[in-house]
Amino acid sequence: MIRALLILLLSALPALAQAPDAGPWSGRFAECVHGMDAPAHMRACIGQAARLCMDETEGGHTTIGQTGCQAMEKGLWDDLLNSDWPEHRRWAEAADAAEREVFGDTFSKRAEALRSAQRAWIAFRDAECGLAYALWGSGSMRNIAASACEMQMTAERVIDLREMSEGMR
Amino acid sequence: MIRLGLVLSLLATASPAQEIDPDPYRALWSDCAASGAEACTGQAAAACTEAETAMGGGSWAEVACLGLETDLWLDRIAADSRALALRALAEDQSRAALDGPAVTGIAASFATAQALWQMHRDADCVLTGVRSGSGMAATVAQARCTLAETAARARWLRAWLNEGP
Repeated sequence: MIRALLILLLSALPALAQAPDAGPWSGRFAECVHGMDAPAHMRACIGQAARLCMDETEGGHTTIGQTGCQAMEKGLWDDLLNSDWPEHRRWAEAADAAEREVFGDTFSKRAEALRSAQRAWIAFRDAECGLAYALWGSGSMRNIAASACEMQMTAERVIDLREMSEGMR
Repeated sequence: MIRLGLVLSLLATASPAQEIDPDPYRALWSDCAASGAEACTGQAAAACTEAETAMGGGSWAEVACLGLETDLWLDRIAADSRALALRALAEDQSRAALDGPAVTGIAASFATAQALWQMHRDADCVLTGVRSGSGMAATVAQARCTLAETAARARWLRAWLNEGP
């Protein structure tokens, strides 16, 4: 199940452009997200690695460059989403197990709800970013719009799930 | 015995039987909706809950009042979605005349996004509910989440309608 969800997370969207290797920016990205004392503060990190990538890469501000840099940062948030997942699952399963002792299986649905919510979010993100792509017609701006959407929504999801897990761990 | 008692109490209150008239709260909601301010989301529901609680309504009254305000936002979403869908169709047709038909047009993408937004909202709000506990606490948390998410989507759609994507 975990593997299936990870595969879903990783393969949900087609790559819009070849993302550059995240190596030069992953350290600064990690510094930013790990330096925040609350999940909501991580919003300040959204777009930072992509901007650095655009500034520090030759052609980084071209359409292909911007799309690739945003796809690179989206990948960093995706990695975070995947590495957070076992922790989210753990609180849900632990709360279900504690409740099951009293109520049986009737109400212990957190782990199931978490999986369902994540699947529904992936489908929504793909559709919403597909809309961002379609809105720009046949112009190359559509690639930038779609990759920005994917980066933003994936980052927001990391933050939302961390906020939801807070106090449950 | 605890389980049986809980199930019986839930069955007994399984539906907010009282239909609450939205009219007294419509003006409050309209002012909030027109202002575009996020902070006023829930004001109509709160006023409704206060009135219903004074008349003896319990937690179900709160859930019904949250549902009442959610429905007001949903009506606006439905109206704005129709306007946006018509605009999207016109845009698709004008692009098709220039470039040939798109693989996926705006109208189809919008319809898909709206349908999947609703499924995402529902699944996330179930999660928010069960995170808060079980029984009534979960139901209230789910209803609050549904209102907040619906109002946020309604504002996003209105901004798109008025200012473009």
